[in-house]
Order: sequence, then C-alpha cells, then structure tokens
Amino acid sequence: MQDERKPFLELSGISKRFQAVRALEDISLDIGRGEIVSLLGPSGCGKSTTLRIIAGLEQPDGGQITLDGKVLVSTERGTFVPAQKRNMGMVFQSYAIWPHLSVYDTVAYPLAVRKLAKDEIAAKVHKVLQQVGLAGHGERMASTLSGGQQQRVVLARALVYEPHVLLLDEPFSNLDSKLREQMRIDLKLLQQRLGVTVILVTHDQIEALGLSDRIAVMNTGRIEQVGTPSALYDEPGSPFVRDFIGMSLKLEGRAVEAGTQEATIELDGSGRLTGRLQNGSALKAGDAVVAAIRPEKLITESSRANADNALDATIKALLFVGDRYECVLQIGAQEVRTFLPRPRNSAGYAAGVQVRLTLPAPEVVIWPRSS
Amino acid sequence: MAAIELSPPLHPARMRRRFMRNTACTIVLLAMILFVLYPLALLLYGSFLVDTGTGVRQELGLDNWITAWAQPGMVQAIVNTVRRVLLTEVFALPTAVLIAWLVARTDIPGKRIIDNFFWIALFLPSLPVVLGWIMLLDPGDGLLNKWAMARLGLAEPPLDIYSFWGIVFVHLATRSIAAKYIFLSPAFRNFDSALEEASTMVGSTPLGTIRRIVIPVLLPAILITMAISLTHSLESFEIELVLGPPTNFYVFSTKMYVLMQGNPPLFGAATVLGLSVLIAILPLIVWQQRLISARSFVTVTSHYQRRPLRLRALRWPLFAAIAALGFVITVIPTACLIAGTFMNLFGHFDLAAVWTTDHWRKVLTDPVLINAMDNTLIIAGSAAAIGAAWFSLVAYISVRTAWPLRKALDFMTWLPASLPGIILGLGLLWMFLTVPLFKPLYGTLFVLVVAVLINAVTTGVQLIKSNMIQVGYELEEASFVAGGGWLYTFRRIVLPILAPVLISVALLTFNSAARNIANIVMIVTGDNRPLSLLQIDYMADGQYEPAAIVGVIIVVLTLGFAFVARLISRRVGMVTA
Repeated sequence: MQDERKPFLELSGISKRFQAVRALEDISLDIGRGEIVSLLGPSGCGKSTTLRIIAGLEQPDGGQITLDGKVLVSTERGTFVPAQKRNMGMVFQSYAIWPHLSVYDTVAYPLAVRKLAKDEIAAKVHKVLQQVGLAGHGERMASTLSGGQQQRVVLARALVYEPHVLLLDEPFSNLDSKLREQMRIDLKLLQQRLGVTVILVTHDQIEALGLSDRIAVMNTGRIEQVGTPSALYDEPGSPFVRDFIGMSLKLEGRAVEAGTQEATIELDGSGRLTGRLQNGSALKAGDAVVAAIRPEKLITESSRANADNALDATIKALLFVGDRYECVLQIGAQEVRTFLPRPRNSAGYAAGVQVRLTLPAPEVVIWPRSS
Repeated sequence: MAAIELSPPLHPARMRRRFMRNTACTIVLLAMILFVLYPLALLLYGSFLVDTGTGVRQELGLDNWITAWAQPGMVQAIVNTVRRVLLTEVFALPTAVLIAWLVARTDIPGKRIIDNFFWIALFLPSLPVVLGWIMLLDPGDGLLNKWAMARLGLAEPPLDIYSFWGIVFVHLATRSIAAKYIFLSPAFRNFDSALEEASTMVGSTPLGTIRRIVIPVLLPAILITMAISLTHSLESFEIELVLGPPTNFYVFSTKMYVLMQGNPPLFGAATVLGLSVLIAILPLIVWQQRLISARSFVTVTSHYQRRPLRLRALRWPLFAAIAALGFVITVIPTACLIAGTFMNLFGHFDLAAVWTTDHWRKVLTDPVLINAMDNTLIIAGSAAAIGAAWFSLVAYISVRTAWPLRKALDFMTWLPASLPGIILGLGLLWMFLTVPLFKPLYGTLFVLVVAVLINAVTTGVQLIKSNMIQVGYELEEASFVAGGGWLYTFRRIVLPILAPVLISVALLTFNSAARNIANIVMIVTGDNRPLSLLQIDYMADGQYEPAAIVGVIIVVLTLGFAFVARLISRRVGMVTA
C-alpha cells in the first residue's frame, strides 16, 4: 500500500438526492495512489451512485472531489469536470459493449478520441489485448464474444489509455462462479503489474475481502466503516458491518457483571458466557446484550468440554458445503445459524446430535443490544 | 422540481455548454411550435371568426360552431364514424393478435411468407387498393358480383363496395389488420418463453396459458396498438371519400371535406369539426402516453429463449387460412389494379376489345404525369432526408436530455397524429396565406414537404425513441468515460447504432409522403400537385384507367422503397414501434 497520508482521490461531504430519496449522505473517503478500494454494501446502499459521481456521470448535490490535488467537483465553487475530461477508466456492470464495433475498434476508441497516431494506437491496443488475454481476437465483433471475453474487452477499453483511476461496477456479477474466481485473480495480478488505482463496487464480500486493500462498507447512503479487510472482519464497528462481512454465531442475553473491558452475561436459559466488550461500549448489569463469535473460533473438541464458556447445542439442520458444515443449532431457547468445522473423527454430525461447544472468552464480543 | 433546486454559481465552461444545449433544444421546440401548434392556434382563432357581411371586417362569435353542428346529417356522420371504427377494430384486433401470436410463438410454417404479406399490405397505398376492389365488388360491373349472379342464379348483385360494410371491408383489407400485426409482433417475439413454460409446469393448458399469462403480460402492448389504431382510424379519409358519397354515406372527415369544397367553402365550420375530433381524441392520447410510461418496454434481454408451441394437425390449415388472407389483401387488389390499366374500359370484360395499352401510352407521355412524378419524388425525397435528421434530434432530446421542456416537445409530436390530416392541411393553408413572411412559399413544394413531415412526425419520433431507449444509456456513458465528448459520442456511437433505424424511418417517411392525400389536399395548387392527388383527381373525373396507372406507379414507388427499408430492418433485427 502507498502512503496514506497523501490521498490521491479525495471525496468529502458528497451528498445526492433522487427526487425525495436521499441516495447519499455526507460521503467522505480518501483513496491512496495505487490502492484497491471496494465499496461494499447491499443493493440500494448508494455504492453505484458514489462510483458514478466519481466517474462524472452523475452530479452530486453537495460536496467536493479532488484527484491528485485537482478539484473535479465542488458544488461550493461550481466546478464540475465532465466525465470525458477526468481520464478515468470504467467497467460497467452491463459491460456496455458497443454492438457495431470490433474488439480492436472498441479498445482503440479511447485512443482515437485522444487523436493518437494510427501506429501508436495499434501498438497500444495490441499490448493491452495481450495483457487481458485477448491477443488475436481483435477482428471479432465484441458483441459475439462470450461473457468472460466481453469482460476482458471492456477491461482493455478502460485500461488502454492508462487512466488515473479504474472504476469497476460489479464487474463479475454476470459471470459464473468459476470464471469469477479466475477473473478476480487475473484482475489482482493485472493491477499489481500496472499499479493503477482501483475503486470496485460490489455486494459480494468474498470479492471485496479478497481483492481490496481497504473496504468502505456502505449502508443506506452512508459509509458505515472503512478499513482493511482483516480490520473489518476482526473489529467490526457496528452490528451492520459485523453481520454483513463474514458469519457470526450470535446469542442473546443480559449482562450480569460488566467491567470496562470484559463482561459476563446470562444467556436466555442456557448458561453464562464471558467475553470482551465491543470497543467503546459501556454496559451495566441487566442490559440486553448480544454475544458474537466468528465460527472458526469455536472449539468442538471434547477435551475442552469442561472449560468455562462451554455450551450444549443440538443440531437442528446440517448442510455439508465441502470444507465445513453450515448448520442451525439449538442452544437453550435460541436457534442460531453458524458454521462448524469438519470433525477429525469420521463419526460426523447429523441432525439431532448434541455437541458441546467451547467459546474462548477472548474471541467472544459482547455487544449492547438495542431493542 | 427545477425551482427548488438551488443551483450553485456555474463555471464559465459549464455555462457555455448548458447555453449551447438549451439553445439547440429551444430551436427544435420553436420549430415544432411553429409548424404544429401555430397552425392549430390559427384554426382555433379562425373558428371563432365571423363574417360581418361587409366582406372585409370580421368579428368574434360562435356562428361557426353553431353552423357546424347544425349541418344536416351531422349526427349521422358521427354515428357512422364511431360504428365504422368500432366494427373495424372488433374484427381487426383479435385477428391481428392471433396472427402475431401464431407467427411468433408457434411452429406455423411459412412465417416469412406471412410476414411479407402483411408488410406489403401495410405499405400498399389505400387508394389504388380501393380501385382494385371496385373492379371486383362494384354493384354494377364488379367481377365477383357478376360471377355470383351467373353461378348462383341471383337476381341482385350480392355485394356492394359502395356501402357501410364495403367501407369496413376495405379498411380490413388495407392497413387495419396489417398495421396491428406489425406493431404487435415484436412484443410477441420478445416474450420470454420461460413465462409460458412456468404456466405449463403448474398444470395450465396451452389456451389457459394464453389467457392467463400471454395476454395479460402483453396487454399494454395490445392496448397501445389499439389506442394508436383508434386515432388513425378516426381520421381515415380517402377510402370514405371514394366509397361513401355515392350512397350519401359520410363520416366526420368526409363531412369536413364537403364543407370545405362547398360554395361558398365553409372553412370555419370545417375547422370546428376538426377541432372537435381533436378534443375527442385527446383523452386517447393521454391514455396512450400513460400506458407507455407506466411500463418499461425494454423487453429484449439476452436471456430470452424462444421455444415454439407445436400446433400439430392445425399447422397447415392455419397457415392456409392466414396465407389466404394475406393473398386476398395484397395480390388480388394489386392484380385487379394492374389489369385495369390495360383495359379499354376499367372493369369491363364484356367489350369486344377488352385489352389495350393506349392508356399507358397516353398517360406516360402526358406532361401532367411527368410533372406530378417529379413533384412526388422531390416531396417524398426531401421529407425522407429532413425527417430522419429532424426526428432523431427530437427523439434524442426527449429521451436523452434532462431539458425541462422535453415533455412539452414530446407531447407536440403526438398532436399531429390526433388531428385529422385535412384539418392540419387547412391550418397550414391559413399559416402560409396569412403570415407575410411565409406567403411567397405558398404554392411551392416546400409547403407540401412541411405538411407530409408533420404527418410523419409521430411515427418517426416514436420509432427512433423506442430504439434509443433499448440501446441503453451505458453505451454512451462508456464513451464519455473513455474521453469522448457529446458530439463525438453522437457521431461514433449513437448514429452508427441507430443507422438502420434512421434509414428505415427515412424510407417510411418517403412512403407516407408519396401516398399522402389528407394532409396536402387543401394546400395543393396546380403546379405542385403530386401523384397521389393526380390519382384522386382522375377518379373524381371518372377516368379510372389513368387513375389506375397512377396508382400502379405509386405502388411501385412506395413498395420499392418499403422493401429496401424492410431488408435493412430485418438484417439488424430491428424492433418496430
């Protein structure tokens, strides 16, 4: 990652309304040169609108965007640099393949716009087609290619003029899962080679976690949290981020003892748990709480069965998904979803089987529960 | 909405761009106002002008409105119009829906043949077709009548084209079914067969699926087709003009024409009738627009599959029935028309010498015909060229810009479709005669080009619009992001993608200009008379043979161009309307 002290692309206070709907509220985000930043969130959270505002395809109602110190948008100063002057590359969700152009002409288009010489265009187009793995496909009509190839075409179109920033709007959502994995790796390698700054919009956490240097999690037009993938996963700042990224086993209860760092809680009918308080929250005895733990931190070995923080659970439903189980457990009066690792002995799990789970206290996070 | 928006101070470059855009849009809007709204306003004003008897001064009053509605036979004409329109719809719409469904969704054989029949029927000018049918169904000399009387021993001719049912029949046999079929087929073609299959899987019969799934999903398309054809049908003119008067049968539009042709011509009263039609049709237009805006018509996706329903034993009988219909509405009248041009006396096979080429020789050497042909080619050619450019500009503004007045512009493109053609013509006549600036233009071909363009504006703009909507704005945005400016994008992305549509619109405009009668009948003078009016003048004179020859020439011209349009649109799978 580059020096984050000096932001390359800087969004501050961006807001946008569509008629009565508030699409974006006070979006501020700094992106370093060469960074890959994902905008992650459920559909309708405003991530695509943010991307389109960065691209210049949409005008914000308020706020400012600067690129390398140069103001692109400032509603205060009345500045708006149109999309074609921003030198950004964009891959659209629908690809936006021009139906009347060949692969070569499609990729050459941005260079023709920039009035480059013919042989220079040819050299650049061939180089970028090579880079995206489409060498030799230049004469084909872009619209006749397969989905994966079309995506490489639009990637080449976005990269051929060496844009300051590459914007990707759900670029892999139209591909099947195998191809998606392949493209993810190809994109990461390509980005490392070119060093281009990338902003990626996605609703797929795997995509965001795997590709990004940092992720901005968005919800209802706001940025909930910005951080590295591991920081977001390990230290989610809000219940929304905790639940949107990764899986948690969650149990409800009430605090019986609360310190500044730790708390012990009484679960509804199944025993007691000790865990650490979620950063910045304060509890007193009697408060409603949620205890959350990442499934991979659960211990199922029977050798630890008598330790503290151990609970009895009954398997209600079990889905084998290869490297682990997805299951619904009954713990006391609560039904919870979680993953379970495959046990080492072949005796396996089944619906109706009872397991004893240990939840190591440092891994359990106690969150205040708002009613 | 725009008023609430607090606009920040603008950057000079941005202000210049906005100014340019606004200026361009305003010019387009002003032109539409000048050629559509202004004549209309003149008509409205004129309908309240009353002669004071001195011959010079006029004052405001309701006399015209009273005269118009007090005309003898007025009520009957309205009843006739409504009955004629409704009866035609009752036959035409279900037939068109059925045929569109059969061709698009089943394994009926000969789809291309059926399709071509209806395209030809759509482009055949009605007047020549009427002539062909007169040869067959004339109560005195009609071939079918004579045959039926001889064979079946009837004392009276059983069929009469000069009657209410004759007029309904000719409507069905010209554009009524054909136009609906052409409008409906894209919707039926693009229907995702997964919807039908889902209905089959839950246990519905094929007919149940049509009733519960296909029709409801396609209902908006069907309703829009109906609304458009109702408007067109209400204004229908030339068929009634030829077939109605002999039996004293008048509809609204012919009644209007009679008022204008009277001595003295009652322009004011005729205008009142025209405006009344507009008022009657306005709710239809509003309804039409609401239907269209209420639904996204982007039905074309890359995922739809077409799995045709198997008709089994019904395949060939159904094909035979539809092909026969197609044959009846295209080949038969055209053949009669052509035969008529080579006959000594049109439709008379009982003369000593039936056949002759004299008429052709006479007409082809007649400078009147050469002049009319030149006029038609110039009018239709310029209308096609100007139309394609003008309509695409209007469509682009209303689809792709956020210009505050684009809705008004769009509405204005619908107005001409809702005004009877002769009234629009009358409005233009007023305009070109009363505005000093325009007066020198009266009698020139330019006036007629304007008139036929106004007639073609609705279809042309809507066609381009629907295609623009389907193209998807992201294709343009991709160009902006790649660095292309507005003009560059228009030239290298928008135009090439829409080129087939624009060519088709140009050719359609040519076709409609070459056949047009209603819009120009009031403003044609001797010098600028085109073929279509020459034909009607011959017919009014009772000279059916030269009328038929002119008809054949129009058919050749219009069909020739239509076929080119069809070829182009088929090659790119263009969706019409």
